[in-house]
Amino acid sequence: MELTYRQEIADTLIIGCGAAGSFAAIEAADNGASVMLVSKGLLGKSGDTIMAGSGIQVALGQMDERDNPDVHFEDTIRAGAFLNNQKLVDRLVHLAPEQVLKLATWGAPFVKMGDKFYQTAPPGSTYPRVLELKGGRGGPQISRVLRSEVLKRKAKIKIFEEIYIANLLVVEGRVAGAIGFCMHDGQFIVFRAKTTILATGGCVQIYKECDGSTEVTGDGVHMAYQAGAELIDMEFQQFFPYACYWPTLYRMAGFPCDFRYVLHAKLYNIEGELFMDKYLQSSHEWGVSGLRTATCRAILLENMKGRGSPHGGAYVDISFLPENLIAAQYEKTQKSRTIDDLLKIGIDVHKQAVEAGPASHYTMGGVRVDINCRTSVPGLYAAGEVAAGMDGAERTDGGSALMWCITMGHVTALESVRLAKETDLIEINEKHIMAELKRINSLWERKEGVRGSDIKNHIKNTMWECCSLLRNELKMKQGLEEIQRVQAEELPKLCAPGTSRIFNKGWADCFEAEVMTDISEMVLKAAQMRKESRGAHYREDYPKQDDINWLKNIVIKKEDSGMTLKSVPAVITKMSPPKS
Amino acid sequence: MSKNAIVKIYRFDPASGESERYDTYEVPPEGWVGLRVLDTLKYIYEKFDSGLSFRESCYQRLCGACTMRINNKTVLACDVESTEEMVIEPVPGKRIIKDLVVDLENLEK
Repeated sequence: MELTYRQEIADTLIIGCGAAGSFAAIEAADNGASVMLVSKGLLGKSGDTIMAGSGIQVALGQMDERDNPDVHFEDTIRAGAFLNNQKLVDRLVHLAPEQVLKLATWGAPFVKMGDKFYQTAPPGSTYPRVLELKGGRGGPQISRVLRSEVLKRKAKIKIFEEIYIANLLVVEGRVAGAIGFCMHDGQFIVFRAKTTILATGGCVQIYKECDGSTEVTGDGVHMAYQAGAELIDMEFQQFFPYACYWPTLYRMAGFPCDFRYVLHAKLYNIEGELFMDKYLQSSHEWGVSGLRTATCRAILLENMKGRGSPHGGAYVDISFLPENLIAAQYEKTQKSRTIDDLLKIGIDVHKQAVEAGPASHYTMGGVRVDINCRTSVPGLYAAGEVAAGMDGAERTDGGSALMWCITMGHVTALESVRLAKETDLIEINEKHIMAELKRINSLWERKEGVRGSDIKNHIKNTMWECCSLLRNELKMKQGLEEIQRVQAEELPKLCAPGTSRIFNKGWADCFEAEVMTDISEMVLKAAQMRKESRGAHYREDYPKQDDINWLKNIVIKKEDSGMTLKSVPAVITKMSPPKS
Repeated sequence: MSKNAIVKIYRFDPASGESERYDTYEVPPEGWVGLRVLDTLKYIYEKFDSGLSFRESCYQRLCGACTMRINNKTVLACDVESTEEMVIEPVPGKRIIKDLVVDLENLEK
């Protein structure tokens, strides 16, 4: 069969259409660039922005005037255990107020108290800082607002939904665009642009227990790696402790955030013991008190001691609270979808506790960027969860992700507008395109072998077992051996058995299987290299934080020899770690 | 002991030249009891029929991508528990891209 493709050209190519991609598209369009917004799913109906249960963290100081971007900076660095890129964080938290407030002018329904924005203080925030949204979780509300703003700019933003990007096109070390196929017709598309912005989200799907969208498989991180960009902090994967484990119908639904950090929901084991105190009192290596991953580890340890809930979690409870207090909070944010859903099947949180446990939730690691969100490859930018350096070893709880998305969307958009004026489109050699098309098509042509969905499930189980919350050398060694066996024996046999080119899920699964396997290798290797515990990374064999040797980031890069890892000093410019 | 579920699914591939049809799958308890319809579709896709097309994204009733018709009601497949007998069809009145995937372009504008 002769391989054909169509070509699309604009100033800016944005891959991913969650908050970061959509905001970048809007800002780039408003500043004069032509934009292609490409997404694996549907605009506003896919990815992890819609999953955001919290609001947006931004230091407006509306509930406590002592809050400001400098305090926000300090809280972020403390939560990140001093591995964040301080220059980047400093710039972004100072840009955040102006950018986030644009959402209010576009009609985002932020909760107000009188003439002020209502802000809450999740663990890790010194002062109330999270803008909450009315009538539902923050993610779907923000998605709706951004989708509508993108659609208003259709003249400047060309939207491509349900496109699988297989690779970036790199010409003489510079990113010149990307190549992929459309799920609707199975046809190939070559996107050519002066700048490419990755906004594809994290890698949360590499774990079995995961509360993210199915699309979030680490595609952008993998594309950047293949293009030669540096990645950092891949060992830091965040888990969320309050995903419903039971009943199955509502598995992975998040227990409402504000019920936890405003009403102080309790977490206890099957014996009715409030076990968190036991784990938090002891020492600082658990990180900022009550941060998500530390809570997850405590739940897992309770289960290992036979004190977990029947389905492997713990009990999260607000039934001890007076009904009027719950009703008042409910009234304030109307954010209790999970509560309503549970009630439909007879579980009333006013009367009983809910079984919840850890789920893979957010990726701190990703593509290394500078203060302009530039990657180490010319022409390539990254915004939101796909990028790294903002969070370091662990995120503050609640609303930081959307803030990074919006602010980095803004920064990357302005950069792309500048480059659109300064640079020309890069010619892409026809042979180069044909070689890529052949590679992509070969997966489609193979009808017998190993299915991508089987590999994906296998990877998810392996990573959950070997490199999730409680890590040690032996488990990680076994995990890495298994991942490398999959790479050697199974990936070469990937096949897409479905006969139609149209919406062939098996074809997309092949690419995701490759991506998830490679990402897992990175996470395992970085986690093995870091011989200490810090933030979200906890090793049973190295349980202490080691500031003498490990105030460092691990950088991963593809070289001719294969995957390389090296450690570099963390970017510490304003705030030094306390001397222990 | 639960029985196997009988799941009848609408199939259509406009590129094939063939007309629309219904395929029936017998799903063992592990593929449907206590699970969401979307879990059952994924089970069928993974175990029986890799050519089946449907949308899946959030699995938490947030994105709306899995809107479809289940036993004559338009619902989210992630919001409904699987039952012993199911007929699963695309949202009516939309152009069918393939099987349960329709063109949602004019939805919720």
